[in-house]
Amino acid sequence: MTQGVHGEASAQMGLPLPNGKLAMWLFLVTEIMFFTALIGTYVLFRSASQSPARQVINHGQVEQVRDAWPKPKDVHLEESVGAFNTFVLICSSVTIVLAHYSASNRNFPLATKYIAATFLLGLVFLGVKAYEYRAKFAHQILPGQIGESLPGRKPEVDKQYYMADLAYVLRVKEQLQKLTSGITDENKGEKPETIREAYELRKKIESAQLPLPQVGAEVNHLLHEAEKRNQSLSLPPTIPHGNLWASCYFVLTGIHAIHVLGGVVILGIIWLMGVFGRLGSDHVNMLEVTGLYWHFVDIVWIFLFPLLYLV
Amino acid sequence: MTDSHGSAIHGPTYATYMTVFVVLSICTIASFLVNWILGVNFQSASIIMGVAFVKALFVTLIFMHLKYDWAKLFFILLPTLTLAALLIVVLVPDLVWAWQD
Repeated sequence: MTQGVHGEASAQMGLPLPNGKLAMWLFLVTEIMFFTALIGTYVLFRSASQSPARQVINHGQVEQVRDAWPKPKDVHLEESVGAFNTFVLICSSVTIVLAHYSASNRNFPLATKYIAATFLLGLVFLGVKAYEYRAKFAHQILPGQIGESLPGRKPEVDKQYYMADLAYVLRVKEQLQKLTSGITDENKGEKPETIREAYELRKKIESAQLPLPQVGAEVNHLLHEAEKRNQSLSLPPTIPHGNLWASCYFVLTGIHAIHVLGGVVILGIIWLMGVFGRLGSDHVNMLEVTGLYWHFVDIVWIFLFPLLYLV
Repeated sequence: MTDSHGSAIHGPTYATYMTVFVVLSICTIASFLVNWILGVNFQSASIIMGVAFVKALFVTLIFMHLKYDWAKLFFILLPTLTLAALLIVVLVPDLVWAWQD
């Protein structure tokens, strides 16, 4: 800022903002566009996904259904886990802003503690995310792995899905063969019920008794029965729109998690600075700028959580 | 919040930050309960996204100090927010129903 001559207004160059803060806002603006594109695409995919009509028998009545976008229970997504993660990020937003507040008031030991809390909460968020991803991997809910077809569609529609259905059935057959290797008609009685049913399904697939969409329905039934008996069984389920859902889920949450990881790394470095007494008045702006990034990451999750888990 | 000369500048107080934290927590619980009670439908989706917008506003205005810095930053944010909204509008015609019948 230049000194004004008496009687004249003082000239001022640039914005009345620290350079770092302006730079961070410019970066956040690009991130707003980035996540808007991702979330807008997800909304587009979800709204435009329309399943072919299927005939199903419901309590003896023939009904026409169109499979909706997967519900959280279809894809083993737990709303309570997502809500907990939201709360974790909100707490971390509070701790980082209090870290900056403490540093502004020259209380650097307290600021260091708040930074530590933010760092740890970030790690908790990533840990919960890893737990959710593990559940998806265990249930084979992965892009390109999930079956799309269920029985009841018109034959000309089934033809359009033939190659995708065939790839899915071959994958299921291979996994059933591994799961039931060594089992024969003679010794199947000794095996758990789930394994016996898997063996029966394998025989039906190998003898080409089932139309391709019917395999998906049989796999879903097998998985459902295994879950009821609390027995673990890993086969790719059939979920209409499941592959698109999985792609969107992993892209949105994965990119967000990478942003959280970047923030956690920076917070770790700042924490170490505080631990070694290197945090001082010169770093108050740095704390504010770091906080801006962290709050943005929180805001993105505030929108991702309802879009993916609740609505 | 301080300037480069180290003097304290007006901004949110500790009480304000904690109040916003409580509000955000209540909003999160409310979203979860609306989903649990009303299920997944247009009504619950509208309420939940509205609550999400309110939460984002609180974080932006108070935690990110935009309430105090808006006059210095609006020229960056207004075009971005406009473009972001327009991007959604531009995508709307692509919501094509893929009729398979």
